[in-house]
Amino acid sequence: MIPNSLGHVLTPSAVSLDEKQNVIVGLAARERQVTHPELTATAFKRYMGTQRKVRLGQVTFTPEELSAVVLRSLKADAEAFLREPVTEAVITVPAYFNDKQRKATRQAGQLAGLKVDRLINEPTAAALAYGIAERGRETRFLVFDLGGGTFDVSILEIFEGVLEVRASSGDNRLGGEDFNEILVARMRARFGEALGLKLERVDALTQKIRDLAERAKRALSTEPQATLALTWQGHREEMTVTVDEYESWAEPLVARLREPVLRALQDGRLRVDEMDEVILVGGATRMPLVRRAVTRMFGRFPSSAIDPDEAVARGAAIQAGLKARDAALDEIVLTDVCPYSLGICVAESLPNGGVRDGLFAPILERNTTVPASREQVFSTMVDNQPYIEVRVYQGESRFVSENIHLGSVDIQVPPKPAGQVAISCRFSYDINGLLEVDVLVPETGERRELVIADADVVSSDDFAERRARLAALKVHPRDEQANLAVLARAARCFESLLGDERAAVAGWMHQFEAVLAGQDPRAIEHHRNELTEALDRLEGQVVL
Amino acid sequence: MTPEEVWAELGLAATADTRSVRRAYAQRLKVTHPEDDPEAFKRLRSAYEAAMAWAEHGPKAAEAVQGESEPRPPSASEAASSPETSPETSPEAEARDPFEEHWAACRALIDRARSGGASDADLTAALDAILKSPVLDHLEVFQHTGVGLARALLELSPKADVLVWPVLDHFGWRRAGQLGWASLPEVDALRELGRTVTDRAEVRDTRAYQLLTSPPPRKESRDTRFDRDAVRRLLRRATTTDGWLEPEFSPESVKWWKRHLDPRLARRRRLMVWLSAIAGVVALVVLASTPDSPFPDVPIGELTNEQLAMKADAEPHDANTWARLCRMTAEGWWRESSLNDCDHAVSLNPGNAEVLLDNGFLNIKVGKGLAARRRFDQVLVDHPEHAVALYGRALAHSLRNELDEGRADWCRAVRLNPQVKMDVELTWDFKVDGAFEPC
Repeated sequence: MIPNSLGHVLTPSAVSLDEKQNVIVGLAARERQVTHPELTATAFKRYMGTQRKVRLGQVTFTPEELSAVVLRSLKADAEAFLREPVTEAVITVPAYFNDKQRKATRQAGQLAGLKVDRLINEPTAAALAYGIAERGRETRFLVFDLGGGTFDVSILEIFEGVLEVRASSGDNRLGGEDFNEILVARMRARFGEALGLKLERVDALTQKIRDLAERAKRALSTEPQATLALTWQGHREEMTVTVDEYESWAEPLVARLREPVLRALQDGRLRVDEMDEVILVGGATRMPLVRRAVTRMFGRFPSSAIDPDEAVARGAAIQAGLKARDAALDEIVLTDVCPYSLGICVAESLPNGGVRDGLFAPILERNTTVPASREQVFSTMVDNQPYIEVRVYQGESRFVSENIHLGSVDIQVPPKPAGQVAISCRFSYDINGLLEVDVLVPETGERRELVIADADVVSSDDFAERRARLAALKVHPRDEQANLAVLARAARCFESLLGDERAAVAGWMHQFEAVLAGQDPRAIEHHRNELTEALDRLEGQVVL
Repeated sequence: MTPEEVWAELGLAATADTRSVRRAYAQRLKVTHPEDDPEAFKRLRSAYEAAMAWAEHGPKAAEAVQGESEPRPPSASEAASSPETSPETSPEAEARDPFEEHWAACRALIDRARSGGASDADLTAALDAILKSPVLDHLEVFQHTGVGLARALLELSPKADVLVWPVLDHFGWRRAGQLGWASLPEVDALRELGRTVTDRAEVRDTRAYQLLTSPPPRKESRDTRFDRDAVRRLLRRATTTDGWLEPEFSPESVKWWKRHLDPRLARRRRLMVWLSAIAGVVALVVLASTPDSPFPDVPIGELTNEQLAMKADAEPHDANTWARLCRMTAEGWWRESSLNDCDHAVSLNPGNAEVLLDNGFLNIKVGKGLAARRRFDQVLVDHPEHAVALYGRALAHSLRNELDEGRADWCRAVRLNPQVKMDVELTWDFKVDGAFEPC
């Protein structure tokens, strides 16, 4: 694993601008979330593929652009380590990312100057990291991936050098952040009154509460209780939470972990006792309550053979090796599945002469091994219907209104009585999880190809312009990044402390700034380490 | 793909040995890499799936795979037996006591429900205790318990119907339409039973049901057309699809209503009123105004649909006939010009809410959201709190995919009249799935 400029192998997805419009990425940016919320963006991954814009000071970014900024910084880290240019990348995405989100991710890579060789599903990547060591055996295992914002379950099988994903399922609205939100909600209820504030209105305060919740959640993994102490404009409020209380609050979330597992088992036509191993992936699986729930569900202890935070990255690296046909990985072939059903909107006639519209007709069923193509024939509903509108959806509900709309295409059909004109829809799902829809009227030979998310695709001029704009953003030199991160952290501590501790942090910051002005690299490094240690003593080690 | 092509693709003679099929697939996969040649991979994969299906389930299933619609997977829970017949299927059952206890509690619950001695509250409490058991955390126990209970409730119905919804809720089966764990055959059947249970409860809540179960009114009540239609429908429902209703009605009340709804008696009654109130001359005038009618002296209510249509065509300006025709159409009788007929009925009966509603629901039935919405809007201009019109407009919105507006109307309608859904179903004879629930 290649470390970043701070020496860490994990870089938080956070982007911030400083007063001179310089871009700050990673840990330093995340520290600024509390002190400069209006100049900082985090958690933009969940907005990928939407039209939502994020405003940092004077500058507006799309989620792809923010991701591109992070990717560019990772690229720089890799280039500094390898001492050669990096031009291609394998990027992991949650298995439940839809077509729009995948395309946006790919675009982010291109904006960062990377050719995106492959998008790989995160649980599949994690499984690859585990499976590569087990390739000699014939085995079946389940990957339980609870990340920050999404929950993915995959069942894999290894035989004869084939690593096959049997089934994937998940809940894209369940993740570690939901376990923080429990505490956030309780704090709002408790402190809101005391502070006389509408807590949700104040950005900086919201961030601070989120930060406190995250720390308390981690503390509760090892301690019997945790104290949430909020300091705001000179007031200090406290509440104590015990492990038992917290776990009873979290029970509804834990119950939601069960359904996706059942669905994956059912789709893979497998029983619980047919799993040789259960692998935990994703930071949120470090929580004891999640590990306990998994143990109870499967009646066995989950494996800790791989590091839950690094498994996905290792898997991506292995995928890159497979792609490049690395000799060390010879004889392994990976096959993945399409994790959700894809189909179109249809109407049906009812026996009483009525019509029911808005029904979902799946064409490519979920958990089909990809690449795959499926074709189905549909016919007109009305006499002399001039055209047919093919609306493409993704999801598992029988009603399209509950599924995700991916795009539409109109195709002209010859005027004929209802039911006498047929069109055939062909869905092709490729190895990167991108969908192609081909509609054909056999009678006339008329053919339409659906480009999903037509409106979102930017012209190449526009693309070049956006790329140039991103390239023009100034970045702090690499050797200053560590100083920046520790200063941002100290500023955050300063804001959340009172009295002597606060004065002490202020003193350390002044001292360090003076050393920085001296420009002696060895003195700077020495003082930086001292400041880090002092802050560690004050609030515990930094969490990535 | 023919069977010959399948085996040729794998380079294998037909075999039921899954190991050799997998080995052949794996070997071919190394040279038919999905990265390099997606089309070749797709062929190989279909051959592999067909061969595996053949090896596992025999030649029939293999044919189904070739049709590209996979056979329904035999689910884990189907393969395993349900708890009440053989609790030992759980791996831990023998070794650990709590599991034994759990299955014993399940059996006890089912036995009590079967004997019929326990009250609804007792059964609910016993089920609660079972669902709170920690052993239910084990997925296999969860699956077997859920499926076992589903089978038992289906078999026992209506003895343990009170448990249907709690079970559907606990096992995450409430939402219909989702594929997967919630689409096992037992679960579909149980959800159907749940709907029946709810339907019955809803029917029991309607005014028509109350009218038919309470003693008959002493004198001619000033009932509305709405009541009459609803009672008529419910009576029809009792003799056709819902036999369970009949024993719950009061026989005297049914008799009274049948007499009351009889069109000939209604006519006699109206005639009495006419005669006593105004002179017979008025009646003559009424008859005289329709001299060309093919059915001059037959009341509308007695005409068959076809006769009614003929009468309407002969009397293009008779508002009542056209209103009636529109109602019949909206209830499900159809002729080529039905949509136009109903529009004509509206123009003859300007501002008549009943006709507008008939027209609106007819448009809903044929999937014309915009036209339907216009009709309901017209009703709502004069009657802003009309639950049925609001409900209809919600359906119109939902046809047009305007879900937010639809939900708002739906919720308002249900607030104004919790039985609105059932009323609409009884009057216009069509069922709507709870598209916007809960509010």
